[in-house]
Amino acid sequence: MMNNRFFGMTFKGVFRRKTRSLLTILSIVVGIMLVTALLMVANGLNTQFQQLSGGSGADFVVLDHSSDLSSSRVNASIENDLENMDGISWVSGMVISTTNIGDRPFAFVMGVQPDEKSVEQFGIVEGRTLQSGDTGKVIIGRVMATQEGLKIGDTLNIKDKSFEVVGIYETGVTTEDGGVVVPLGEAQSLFDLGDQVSMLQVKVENIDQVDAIRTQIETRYPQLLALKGSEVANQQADLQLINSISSLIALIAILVGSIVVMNTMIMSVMERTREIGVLRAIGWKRRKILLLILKESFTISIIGGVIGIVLGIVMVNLLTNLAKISLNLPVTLDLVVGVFLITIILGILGGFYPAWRASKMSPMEALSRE
Amino acid sequence: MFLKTVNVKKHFGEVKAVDGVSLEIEKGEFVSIMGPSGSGKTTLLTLLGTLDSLTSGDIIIDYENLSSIKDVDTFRSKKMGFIFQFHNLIGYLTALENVELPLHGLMSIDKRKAKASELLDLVGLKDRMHHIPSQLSGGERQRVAIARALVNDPLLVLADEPTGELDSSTTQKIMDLMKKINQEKNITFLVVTHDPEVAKKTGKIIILRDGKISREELVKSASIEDIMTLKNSTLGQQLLQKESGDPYLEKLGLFKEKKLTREGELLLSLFEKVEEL
Ligand SMILES: Nc1ncnc2c1ncn2[C@@H]1O[C@H](COP(=O)(O)OP(=O)(O)OP(=O)(O)O)[C@@H](O)[C@H]1O
Ligand SMILES: [Mg+2]
Repeated sequence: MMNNRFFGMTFKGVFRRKTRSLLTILSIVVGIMLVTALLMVANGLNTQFQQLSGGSGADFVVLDHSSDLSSSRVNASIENDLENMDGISWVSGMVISTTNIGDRPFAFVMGVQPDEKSVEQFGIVEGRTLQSGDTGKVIIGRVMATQEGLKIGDTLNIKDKSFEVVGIYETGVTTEDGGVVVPLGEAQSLFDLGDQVSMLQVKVENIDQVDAIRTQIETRYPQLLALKGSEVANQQADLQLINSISSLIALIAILVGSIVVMNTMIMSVMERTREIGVLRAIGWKRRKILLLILKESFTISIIGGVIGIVLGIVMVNLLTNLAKISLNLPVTLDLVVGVFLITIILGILGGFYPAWRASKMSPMEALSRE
Repeated sequence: MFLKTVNVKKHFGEVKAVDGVSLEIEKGEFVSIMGPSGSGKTTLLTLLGTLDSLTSGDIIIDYENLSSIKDVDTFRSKKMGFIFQFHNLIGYLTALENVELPLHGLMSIDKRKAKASELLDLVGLKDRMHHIPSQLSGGERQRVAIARALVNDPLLVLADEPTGELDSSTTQKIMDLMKKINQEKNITFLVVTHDPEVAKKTGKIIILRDGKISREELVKSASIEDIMTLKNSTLGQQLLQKESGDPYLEKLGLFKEKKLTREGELLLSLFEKVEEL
């Protein structure tokens, strides 16, 4: 038992008004749960995009200025131009788009040239990969296969066109593993792209020159961007929106949370005028009173924060499972530490003013008769 | 002199709560402060307890002038103990935790605990250590408060109507306890009280009136209720029977050398007057 520890006193102080403290904790739980969930989604999506250009060994990708990867258009002629540029090892055109497949509301459909490098990022675990000359053939991601119950030889309809499943791949990027890959030409006709692609994956000969080459490309084609994985994520409007919404919600959570904590602590301090007076009278210094109240507000926000983080993670997993969305939303240490930090800021912000008020109370209050 | 005040004044605007009090108290004395409501008893106690600042005058405690002490919090926590009328224990802490409070930051948890339980033992509450105040009787709470006031080994204990909320038999027990501690530990006690039975147990009585030390004044201007209460007390009975044996009557200045003093006579005549009413 921590009966006689200072912390024990803090704990007892917090729970002297059970309902009120529990309600305060509950409101922090809700706030922190939302923050955790949103940050998880934002983080998850960011990582997904960062990995998009990575699997094939490309150093960067070339796309246009559109705010969303699936609406980016790059002319096929540019692919040839780039291949002839000095310092470039290979260029691979790729189509990325989304559509509904089976009862999945949204799945990635990717188109690659079977004889080019970009097909290699889809590591085959069953059946075979796409080959030149394949028509009406598709390889599908492991997640898609499992969730839709598809096997080699099965037929899959994409936008009313039938495809035969010839292979199952796994990249480890869940958006990819929840999607399908068809030959480039098929993808272009499925999405009416003519001979355009969504992006070009580019590998340079000498990694030291990567930035120079990117600048060169962007100067020659002002309508295009040459971006590394992390920059692709920044370029995505949806992601930007999610990022700013989650930052905003985090800010609101801090604000509302600290107001709630502050309110509770002010009430608590006011009710305990005499108690604080007694502590002052028996020799407690102002600093110690300040600490006593701060510890209490910390305890409230940290209990709320921990429960909120756990529930947030549970909520995200439940929802993604329920909606059959193949998104890998990992719980990273950064995320947990970040949300915990938010909780701590909230505790300090909410506790400081009441603690300061308490520390200003006079020991004379001990004698008040009320 | 262990405790000395020189012309101490505390004014709240027009109100002269304490108005020129000079007194001297030796180490180990047990002193009571009496006086009508509003006469400045509590105010004087807060000044002696470094809880409030003086308007003018000097207070010397343990050979230190309070005005020259910078950190009064530490001075208080080392040298003083307080007992209040309403026990003022913290409701969500156990008796033991309440008694420990003055020791926070001064020693380790284990030492604190040991010291606090030693004191609870002294006031006879060893088996109530883990009870919270609402589970204790009024007298038990006040005993916990006494233990808390003593846990830091103070030189001076200031008590403001410590028995104000207690019945007479509990009052007796609490007073006996404080007396015992006063004698055993040579701790100086200053107890504010309205109860003559309490004052009787103390070695010296100081009577305040309008912020000044007085004796005669009290007798002259006492309210009818005061006189009735006094008359019905054992003290009053002794006075009526003109028994001079009780040293308390001498202390109050009602008797001197086995004879009624002027104040004594005055009080007796007042007793007769209230009888007529
Ligand atoms: N903080 C204050 N501000 C203004 N006036 C005060 C303050 N404290 C006390 N007084 C006044 O000073 C006078 C003395 O008050 P004090 O509390 O010392 O009396 P007391 O002798 O303890 O009375 P009681 O027996 O009722 O407790 C009273 O007139 C009171 O109203
Ligand atoms: Mg008083």
